[in-house]
Amino acid sequence: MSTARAAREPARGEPILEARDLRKVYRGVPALDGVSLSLRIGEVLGLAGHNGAGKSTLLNILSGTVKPDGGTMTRSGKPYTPGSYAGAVDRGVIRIFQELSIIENLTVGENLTFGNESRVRKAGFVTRKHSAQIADAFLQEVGLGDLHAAAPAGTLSLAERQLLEIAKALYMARIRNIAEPVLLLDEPTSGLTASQVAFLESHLNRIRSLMGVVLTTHRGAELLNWSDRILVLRDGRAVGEPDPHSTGPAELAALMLGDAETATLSRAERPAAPKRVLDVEGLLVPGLAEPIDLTLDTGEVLAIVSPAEEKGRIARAVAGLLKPLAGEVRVEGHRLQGGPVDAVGHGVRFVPTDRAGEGLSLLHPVRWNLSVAAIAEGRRRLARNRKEEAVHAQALIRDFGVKVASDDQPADSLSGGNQQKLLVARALAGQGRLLVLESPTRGIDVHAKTAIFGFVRDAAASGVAVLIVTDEPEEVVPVCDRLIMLRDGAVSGQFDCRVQEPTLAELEEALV
Amino acid sequence: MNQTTAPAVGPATPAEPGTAAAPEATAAKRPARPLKDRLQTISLLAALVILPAIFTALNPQFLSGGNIDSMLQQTSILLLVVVAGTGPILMGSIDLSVGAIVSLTAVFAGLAAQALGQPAVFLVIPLGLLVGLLNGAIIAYLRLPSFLVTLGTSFAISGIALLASGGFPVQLPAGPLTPMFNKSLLGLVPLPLVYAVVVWAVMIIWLRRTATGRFVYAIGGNERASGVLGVRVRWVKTLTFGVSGLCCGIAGIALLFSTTAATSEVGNAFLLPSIAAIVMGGTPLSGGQGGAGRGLIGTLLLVELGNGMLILGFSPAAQQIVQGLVVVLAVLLTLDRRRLQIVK
Repeated sequence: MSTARAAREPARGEPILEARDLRKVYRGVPALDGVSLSLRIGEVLGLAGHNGAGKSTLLNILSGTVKPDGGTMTRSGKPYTPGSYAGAVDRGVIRIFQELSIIENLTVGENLTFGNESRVRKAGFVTRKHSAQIADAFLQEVGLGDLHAAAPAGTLSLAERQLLEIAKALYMARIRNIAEPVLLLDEPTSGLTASQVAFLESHLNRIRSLMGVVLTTHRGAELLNWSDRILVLRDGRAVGEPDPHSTGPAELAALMLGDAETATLSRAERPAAPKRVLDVEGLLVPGLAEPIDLTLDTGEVLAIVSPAEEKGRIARAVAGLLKPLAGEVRVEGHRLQGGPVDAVGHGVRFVPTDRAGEGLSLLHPVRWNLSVAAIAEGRRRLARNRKEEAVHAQALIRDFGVKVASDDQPADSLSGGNQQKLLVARALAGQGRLLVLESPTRGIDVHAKTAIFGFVRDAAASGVAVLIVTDEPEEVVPVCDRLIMLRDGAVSGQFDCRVQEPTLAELEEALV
Repeated sequence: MNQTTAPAVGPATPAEPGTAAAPEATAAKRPARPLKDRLQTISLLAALVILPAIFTALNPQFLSGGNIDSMLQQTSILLLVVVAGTGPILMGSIDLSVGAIVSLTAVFAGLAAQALGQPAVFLVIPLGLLVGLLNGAIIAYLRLPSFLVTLGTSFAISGIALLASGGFPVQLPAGPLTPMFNKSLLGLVPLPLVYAVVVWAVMIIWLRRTATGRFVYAIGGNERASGVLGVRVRWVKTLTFGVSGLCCGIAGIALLFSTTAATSEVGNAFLLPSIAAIVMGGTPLSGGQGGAGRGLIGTLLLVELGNGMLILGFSPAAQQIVQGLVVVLAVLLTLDRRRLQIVK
């Protein structure tokens, strides 16, 4: 993937964005403690650091949504105090959020000019045709001609949407007559498959001379491949600027972690006399080209790896959240037919990847989020007895290492990694015999990932069967017993990891 | 702030520095709720005292024994309607048919009493429950928005009440139960208010101390997540609307005894004040937070306001204008707009 790096032009000229000694304190805790950076045109500056290291605070300050408590910023030599997101945009500093703002039922061109329709008026009216012409011309000019202005935005892939966001940012800079825009890309590859990441990278390389970029991503390899320079943050401080050309992912991870130890993972011992937990026969869900059969025993970890969406539907069918088109799901011999209530009643515990949408009630305290599952599973006393409820919550928080100041804290105050720990803790709290994890590491940091897979191993060691669906095969290989690869909706490879761990090459072969 | 009136989300303990998971996220996302909540309660209680002071200063009649008694009577009925409306709002739904169900049950209670004697009024409690369950079943199983369903059914219910009453007030015949509603406890607190407070207390316990009550909050917080956990979301919704109808049935009986004659529209006027009282009591329309507890303060405030305007000789038109604006103001003051990305 690191194709064009050597051929890139070096960054040139004076800094277009400079920050000196930025500070921000939240409730006595420094979130940013004297961080400086500078960015030139044509340059990609990668921000590395775990959740809580200060990346978001830094991006928030640069994009005007948070006022720093100290420090100065300049934009092309002139003082820069944006004051608001709109203020930052007016100075050509544009942040692209992790949650994209593409409106699916508009065309690419309409999305591009959205909010600036007055610029594409012809004789006082906004016409589709005229705005499409303007948009096409602009996309051609900046080298993103692959995007067609007339195409409905809803048909774009995630990578293309990200590209459209970038084009939109460039357009906003253009109509403000800003020659050297700064783009803040926040996790642009989140949720993208490997080929989509490559697609995005190649397009970004084509247009990087037009702008300066500040980039964050959880994936170390990407950060190293994409960035010209890297700034590593830890606990709100800049702790290093490793050269991306000569630094490896392991070195980078070590810098991000600091002294914290890196745990190694291992598979759990299989129980002596495994019993069948899950039996899936002839299961068909949208996206699968042919029916799939699955079995899972006590203490076994099965991973289904696929870049597409069908894997999530398989997990959902097992959890009773999706009615399969055909086939049946049996848990401990019982055929699931009664939706999630039935599944939960037979020991299935589902951890969705959409933590905010399907996992937690963000406005409710951590304690409530933990107890509601237990109450739904039949421990009704927890609703009545506050003391018992608090004991229940605190035990889980302790056992699963969820970082909270108090169990009374609303769930939305937790980092993504801690929210995920909370969900897994909740799923493993009761009498669950089958744990179903849907892309469990999406959007969480290395620490949390290690912790989550540690919980998976411990659960398996205690006899829980685990089904993981994911698009990150390298991550699950160390913990899973068996691995099934899907390609184009059909099984393209099966590996017994206990016998022989598949190599990266073997995995890639099964995927492509 | 005691247990029952504490808001659903009232993180009283601020995050301790050092243990906070992600300081940046913690501070950025966490609303300054405790302070805002306390201010809200204090200002509500202050208004509860200041408002009567103003009204009394303008017209000493406000504090006369007769007027206080009349206010307490009104409180009892409004409180019952407030209790009825709280559950659906906690789920992020709304029951706009509470007023109509009160009318319907008042009319039917009168007819039952005429036909079978006064004790038959209690038959309308299961009637209210049934109508509420029907509301809930339509909303939950046919997946329709509650405000639309209950707006629709409220018209249908009013139509039935009108049909049953024949367009005339239904008189309550004399009978053995009259003292149960006319007398006062220790000569001070009207008995209907005692009943209303009991229902209010039961509702607080149901919502705060039972599994089903917890599911009501959970659905208001995140309905999809509740479903994933195996909560019987549709049944909880249906039941909650049923309980709402049941409380309206009790309100209908109390209203009938208070007015001694029920028209098909006698309860309709309680809808808007009840929503205002719920929202003032710290239960936002977005659901998941608040509870029945402070709805009592909201109820008292609205009764004071309504009664005060009456004593001061506001025209009905002016009263209506003020009450309508109070609802909007209450929503404005209590809604956590940070949570709403889209306002429809």
